Amino acid sequence: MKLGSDTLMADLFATPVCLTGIGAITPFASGWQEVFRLASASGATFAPWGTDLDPPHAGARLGLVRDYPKARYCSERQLRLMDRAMALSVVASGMAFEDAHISDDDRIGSGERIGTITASMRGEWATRYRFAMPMLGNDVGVINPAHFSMVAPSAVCGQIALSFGLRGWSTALSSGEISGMHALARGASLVAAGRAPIVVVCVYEVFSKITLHQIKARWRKYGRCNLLQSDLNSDVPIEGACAFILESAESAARRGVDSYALLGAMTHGYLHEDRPESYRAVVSRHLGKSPETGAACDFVMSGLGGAKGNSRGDEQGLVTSLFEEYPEASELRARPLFGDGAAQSVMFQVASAAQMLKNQRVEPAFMSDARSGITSGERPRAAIATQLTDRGAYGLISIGRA
Amino acid sequence: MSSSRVVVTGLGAVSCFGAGVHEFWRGLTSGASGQTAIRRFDEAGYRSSLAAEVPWAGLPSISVDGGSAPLVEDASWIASVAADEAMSDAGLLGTDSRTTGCVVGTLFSSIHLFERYGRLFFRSSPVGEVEYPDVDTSSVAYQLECLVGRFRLGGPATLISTACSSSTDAIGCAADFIRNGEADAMLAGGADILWEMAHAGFNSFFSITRECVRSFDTSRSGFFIGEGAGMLMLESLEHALARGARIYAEVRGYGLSNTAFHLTATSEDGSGEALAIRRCLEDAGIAHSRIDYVNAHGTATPHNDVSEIKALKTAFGTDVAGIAVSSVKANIGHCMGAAGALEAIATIKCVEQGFIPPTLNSTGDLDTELDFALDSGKVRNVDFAISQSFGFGGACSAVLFGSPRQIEPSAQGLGATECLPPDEARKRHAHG
Repeated sequence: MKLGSDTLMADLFATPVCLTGIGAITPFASGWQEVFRLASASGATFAPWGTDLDPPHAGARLGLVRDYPKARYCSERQLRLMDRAMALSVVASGMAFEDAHISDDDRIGSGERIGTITASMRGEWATRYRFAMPMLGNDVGVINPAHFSMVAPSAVCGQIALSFGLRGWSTALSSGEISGMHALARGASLVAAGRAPIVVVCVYEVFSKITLHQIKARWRKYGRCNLLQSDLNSDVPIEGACAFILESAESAARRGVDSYALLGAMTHGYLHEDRPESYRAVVSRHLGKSPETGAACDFVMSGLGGAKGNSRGDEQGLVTSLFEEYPEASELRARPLFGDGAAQSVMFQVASAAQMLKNQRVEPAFMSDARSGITSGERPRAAIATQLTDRGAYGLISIGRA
Repeated sequence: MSSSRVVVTGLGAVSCFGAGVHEFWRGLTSGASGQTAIRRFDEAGYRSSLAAEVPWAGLPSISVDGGSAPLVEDASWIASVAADEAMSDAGLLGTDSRTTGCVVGTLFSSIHLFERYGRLFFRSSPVGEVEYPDVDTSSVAYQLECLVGRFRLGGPATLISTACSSSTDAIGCAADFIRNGEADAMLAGGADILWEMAHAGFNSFFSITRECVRSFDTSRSGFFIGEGAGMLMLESLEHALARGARIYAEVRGYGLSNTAFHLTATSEDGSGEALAIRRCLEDAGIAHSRIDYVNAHGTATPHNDVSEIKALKTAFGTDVAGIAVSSVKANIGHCMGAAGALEAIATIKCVEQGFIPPTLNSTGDLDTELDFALDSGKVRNVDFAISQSFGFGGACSAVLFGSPRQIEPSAQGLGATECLPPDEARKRHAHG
């Protein structure tokens, strides 16, 4: 490893975007620090997939969120008016604001300057099915208009904005499993462009019976026939929400808050062929975006783990191409520790990388057996998080020490 | 934001008037309406039964990824037809698409397959005994994947779902990718179809009229759902000029906001909506006094039109009186996620043609401070125009188009004669 340089990543990132707050609700813990502590200790455990939810086999496990601090950010009345996706997202966003030391008072009067971005792969499925049930049962007379207000993915975004009084730039993304990556890219671009000094990015997934039915169908389609049979958490579908506060360096400095890390270049698109030259082209495109990514990458936080692999693209190929540029970098994986979070997965990857950059310590639990060059005693400077989905959608994010 | 300027070089549309921008524009300018009784599903049991459906039988068939299998997802079908037209119109169909990306905006893409899936699930139909729709095809993201695969797009690609403001947002987001130098060209737009779930929902809100759409009129009673797709081909000005492309308009800027007011209702004072318009003007660097035309969201619901008029007055102040305002909802219905893209195309045609189509069905009883294009429309030179959309979750979006006449001669170090308006470019092309 070449970690001798003390070059500050802040000097290397052309338009740095600071990650100043993280909120997380997972099946095994709530609150980012507790989530990270348990993940680092390989302490995340998941309950059996209940028989009432039609498990794929007797030993299957499932990551359902049972309890989280709802009352801290929402009244009972507010909660009654929300669906599960909204409640999880509002609470995760509230945790992120708190983590970034942005109080209710801070938001009052500055709500127009705070942007809101949400993303999910399948977050709206449960509510759409609930709304459609009277039609499916041929009883349109009992359709509930309140349920219709929640069928649009932007309803979650709107609920966060409503709960915290945010009137800044706002959008909702629904581009499948890669949505989380897209949300981070859009949020960072709004900050970098000066459109919003602060943006909350919240990525969520929620389960219902039909959602789990579709997850099983999807896994069958992509040949993950060993669904949930391995011992790895990688293959356990999980629900929850993870929110980031992205902030301009100027805003963070003015508020006097520390950043977890800086987010740099982001690249995303679709791979049309599974060929080494395709992967190399993606890596070149990413590294060519800004000089900072060429300067250092001590570890790649990949989206790999468990039975993930696909017919249209293999993330291992993408990661291998990165190692051609950074032969001494290590590969770290979040998925075996957090479970399969669909669109949320990249949030856990980036959050974990950022926490390790902040702590100046690499947690051994994240290390892949394949490439574990970096040791926990070394001080990592920068990382790249990667994702490649079954549908060929890829994304890379550079993350630097603040 | 970097300085790359973004222009529109191709348009594609599918609407209740059929496939093609020509048919779409002819329908708008002639004051036609696609309003009809619903044929897509059994509308019995619902308060209203009106819609504007695409004439599906007349559409060209589309196969999956160039193979022989037909495309089974209807929104992706019309999105592909519109995208084919936009790419062809721009002269980019079949060209190298490695630096071309795509941003789709949609609310209910794949909803008919999701509903079919749900129906089988509702009946507890066992997997293997019945054929469930493909799980990927039943997802909203499929429309994006379909377009990316169809044109083998190598640039950035994403999907926005901010309800009825989705594809206006998509145009702005796509323009950003070009401005940032991440793509030379972008397909931007989206498609949505009429399906029972959407009709049932808006019907339960009493948003669907039983008569006709009267945007901004005091006797308004809502909209009917429309089906459609709109696609714009965006390019960097430099890229367009280098290949001698005709330029319809320039995307000067866009703005987004959240009203933080209510999950489904527009705000009472229009202030949240006005924020998107103001941000759009700021992003474009255009004074509000220079705006000639606003293509309004104009859903004709009691809430929306009041909020929208207040938003316009807030954003434009006393200058609002000099701006022509119109809505095409009475012509094509409310196309939900696709509304923004189709209305952007209408706005660009207004810029190109110097004609604003009429806002239909007015009784004449409406706000007198605004200049609504009523009756037979309005002949007016349009240099700068805004298309704006609002959606569930407090989502507001606005995009500002400028005439190619307004591209400065010094732009990108190129001469004024190289920035040709579409008609002139066509003549030049025709004469070699």
